[in-house]
Amino acid sequence: MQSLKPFEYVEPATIEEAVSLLSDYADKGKLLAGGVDIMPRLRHRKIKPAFILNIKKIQGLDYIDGNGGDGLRFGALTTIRSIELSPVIRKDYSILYEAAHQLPSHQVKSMGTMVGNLCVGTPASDMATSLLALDAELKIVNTSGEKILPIEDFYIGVGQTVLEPGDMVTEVILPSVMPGTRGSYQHLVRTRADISKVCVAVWITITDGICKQARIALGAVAPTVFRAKKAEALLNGRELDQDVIEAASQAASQETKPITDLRSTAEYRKEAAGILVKRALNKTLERAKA
Amino acid sequence: MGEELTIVGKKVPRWAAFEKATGAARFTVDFKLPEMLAGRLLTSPVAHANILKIDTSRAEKLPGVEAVITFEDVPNKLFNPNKMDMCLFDPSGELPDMYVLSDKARFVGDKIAAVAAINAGVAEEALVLIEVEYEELPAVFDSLEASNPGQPRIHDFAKNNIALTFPCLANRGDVEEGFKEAHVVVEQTFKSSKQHMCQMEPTTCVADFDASGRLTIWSMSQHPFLHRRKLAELFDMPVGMIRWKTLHIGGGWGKYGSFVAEPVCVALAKKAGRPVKLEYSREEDFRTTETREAHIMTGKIGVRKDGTISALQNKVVVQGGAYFTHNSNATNVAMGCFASLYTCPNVYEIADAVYTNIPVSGGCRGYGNPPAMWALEQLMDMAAEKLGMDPLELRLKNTKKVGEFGPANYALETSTFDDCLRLGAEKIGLKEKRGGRREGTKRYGVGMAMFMHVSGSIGATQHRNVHLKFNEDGTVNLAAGCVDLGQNIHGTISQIAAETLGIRYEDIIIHTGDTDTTFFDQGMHASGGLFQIGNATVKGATELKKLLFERAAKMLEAHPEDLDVKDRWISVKGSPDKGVSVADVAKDAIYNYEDDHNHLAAKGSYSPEDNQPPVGASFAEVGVDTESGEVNVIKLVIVCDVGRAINPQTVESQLEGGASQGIGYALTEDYTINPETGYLEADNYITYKIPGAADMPDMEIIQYEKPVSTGPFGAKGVGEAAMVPIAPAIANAVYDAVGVRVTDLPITPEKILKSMEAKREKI
Repeated sequence: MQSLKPFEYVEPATIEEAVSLLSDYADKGKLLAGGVDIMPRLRHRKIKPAFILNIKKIQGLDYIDGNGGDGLRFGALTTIRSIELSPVIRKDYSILYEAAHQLPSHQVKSMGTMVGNLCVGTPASDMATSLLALDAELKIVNTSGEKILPIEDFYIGVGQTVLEPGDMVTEVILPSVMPGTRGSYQHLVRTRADISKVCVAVWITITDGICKQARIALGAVAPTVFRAKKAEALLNGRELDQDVIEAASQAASQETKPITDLRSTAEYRKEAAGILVKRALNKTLERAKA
Repeated sequence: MGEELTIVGKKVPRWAAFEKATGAARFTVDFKLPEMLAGRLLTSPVAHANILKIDTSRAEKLPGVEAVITFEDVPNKLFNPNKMDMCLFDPSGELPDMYVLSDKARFVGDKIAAVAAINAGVAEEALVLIEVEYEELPAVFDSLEASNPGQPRIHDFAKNNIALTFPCLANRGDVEEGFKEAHVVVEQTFKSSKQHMCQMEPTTCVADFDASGRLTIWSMSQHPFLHRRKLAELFDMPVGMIRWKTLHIGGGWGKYGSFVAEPVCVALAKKAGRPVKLEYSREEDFRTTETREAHIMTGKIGVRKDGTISALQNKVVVQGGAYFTHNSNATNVAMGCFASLYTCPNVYEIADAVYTNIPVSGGCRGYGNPPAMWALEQLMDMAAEKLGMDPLELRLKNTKKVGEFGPANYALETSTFDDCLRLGAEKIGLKEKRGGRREGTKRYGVGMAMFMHVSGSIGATQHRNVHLKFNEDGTVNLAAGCVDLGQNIHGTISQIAAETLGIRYEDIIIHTGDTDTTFFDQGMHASGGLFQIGNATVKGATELKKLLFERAAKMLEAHPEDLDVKDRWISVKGSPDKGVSVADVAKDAIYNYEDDHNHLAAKGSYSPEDNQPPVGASFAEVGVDTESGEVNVIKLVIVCDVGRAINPQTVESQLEGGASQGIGYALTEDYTINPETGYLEADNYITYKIPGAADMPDMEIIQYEKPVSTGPFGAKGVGEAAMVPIAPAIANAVYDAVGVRVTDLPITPEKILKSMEAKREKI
């Protein structure tokens, strides 16, 4: 087993202290929350931070507040397992529950935080894909204050976010859910305990059988998670019949820019993205009718 | 036998279950010695290069570094890490072509240098300070390409990178004539994939020289005695100067049938003059150590109109890697299994072992049998289709009968293929489910594959010994040279000893893992442990029981042949009240100073007089999504004739474990080499996917028991059997579902979609 390269370890007690230290350390500092991503990367020497800031001692960052009617917030230390077990999330934001629930490892889910997962910046994040479909916002704090950023604007490339040295995501904010909104999360994996080859989350408001607002998010098929807006446009204002679903699925597939890697081929991913969008739309329709 | 068995056949707790479940068990990776240094490896980052210079001076100067070694510090001797050439009278054919540390880089991961330092951090820092000047050479990664003229030569002696061309030992008859007799002939090329053993414990070894120069080594080897001999030869040491110890082992599946970390660790300890623990990272384990060997097999089968096989041919290209390692043995097993599953008068097989600049391979559960069945059992289905015969019928037409020969060249005492086939077919619902149910985008299908493996390998190399002695409380020390890698050999031979002696399972205290205190044992491979060590245990325990009865007879004033022993109580047949406890007899032997003292002890030795193979069939039901190509294994039925299940729970876990490894081999375990750099891309559990509990289908394991007279209590070896038929059974089921055949492992959704597309285009 490879040993860890020495680093200085600090435990800030408050958000203010954390961002102040982060700002001092600039690109030499790394935040540690659950550690499920950072520990293997430290061991493999993929990152060599001089400072590790464990934010686990900061009070008041582990919560889930609100509901679908008012909107919902959770904090930087809220674990994926807490999200999975939250009855409110399961009921009002079902696709986030589904994304969390499909992760098979209880160890990873219990250690790993949702915000930590988002900040890794992997385009294959099931969580980011679901939150993108839910139109989530992130609260970003630094020494000069705080700002709210739509998750859609958060990612800029593989493993890259807009976060500057000194920035810390402290909260995720989900908007309230309009009546008649349903969704579905779908993905393809090699084994149950794998990173998705392709993942899709759809979140659709249907009123009187007509799609009022559709959001289709895709993961692992482009450098970042992204919304298939051409496909969404084909759904808005329409009744979701098989022709519409087929057209939207094909449009979504066309919007992907996948690569070939260990998990799959670009060719397959492009095709599978369309298949998953179709499955997700059909599932959503089924749920809307139920 | 005849009598009711009280311990054999019972689901008693497996050996060390409690220790392992509670974390109390100590593995090599946990082992520490005072003054022990941490060893770390430097491996080649390039696939093919001359090493112009290695400068270790900066690394040596780093405080805390105690030894740095390169090829100049290791024996100037070519060797082969496979232990088989240590088996006397059994020329293995394995070519010696590697040094402990390389003077030339032949694959990404080739061992170049090593460091021992006061801790792992310092050792890793030192690795970075070793300056190696590589002169990169063109490399070749594909075995078919590698043997073309003009390709880079990997070893000087091997023209066109062909290390060895060798025919199958079981070639017979005249295949040309056989194919002429055939009504249908099918030929197809099948590619199998390398497969990692994925043992939980990372490769670890500890070596320590004492003041007299005697070496003690703690390693995960499956063959302590053969490896001790091999190490002695490699380092020019008398065998007696090496003591080889074994702690708990976190899995092996054949990986530790070869030297892995041992030679480098010994060289480090020698130079440092202190004990060294050499531990591989998971990535090193994936890149640098052996995997299952892959083969490209162009198989050809001829079948007569009545369904009997008239000829079998197989041209094999061995995708071994940069060194020869197990190419000869694994491929001979592959060809032997291909030749021997069915009755067939005409067989011709030949193999080319080809060097490439990819990581090495060795023996993994099933050895060459899984790649051979990947080809043969699909050819059977293809021939059946062409002939218009049900694939089950075709198999039934060709199964071997009593007296015909198994893969290890012994006559079959029983033949249960037909029973296993029929039973499995019924359990899966073969007749009803064939031809594919349809549901939306899903198509369903069923498929089967037969198998026959071995209970040990061929010849006089399988010598096994145990010794047993009675303690005065009636417990028995059973000492053996075998190694328990999780297969519960320690538990099953304890059951055999207890049953034979008429005492309880918990009365057996097993002692293993030390070449100083146990007799020679050939080691764990070829599913031979239970059949052979079990027989040695029966012999030893029977001898000990004889001594016990002789002593008891004196005490009871009876004849030894009139005595009986049951649940620790020796009595005179016909008068159960007249008796004495086993413990009292054992105590009397040691402590009755009035009488002659004779600690009751015996030795049991076994050299194989027979080798009855486990046989059976597996059946898979799959669902294939025609849009996404996803394969969902719904159900697996495995019927295996195990002779007798000494511990049915152990047998079940072996068959189930083999089957799950087979599912990974079939569907998800993808050995991906970067075609530009030769870098092994899937080199840990994030990237290389073995199926987990959540991926398992409904599995029905049927232990078919037909005891054989030469097995211990009738048992055969079952450790590898279930791994063998899974991939072809799934491939045949996929074909049944969607009409396409993926011929290169693993069967991924990507390949299925491509095949389906190609099929549509053809139409």
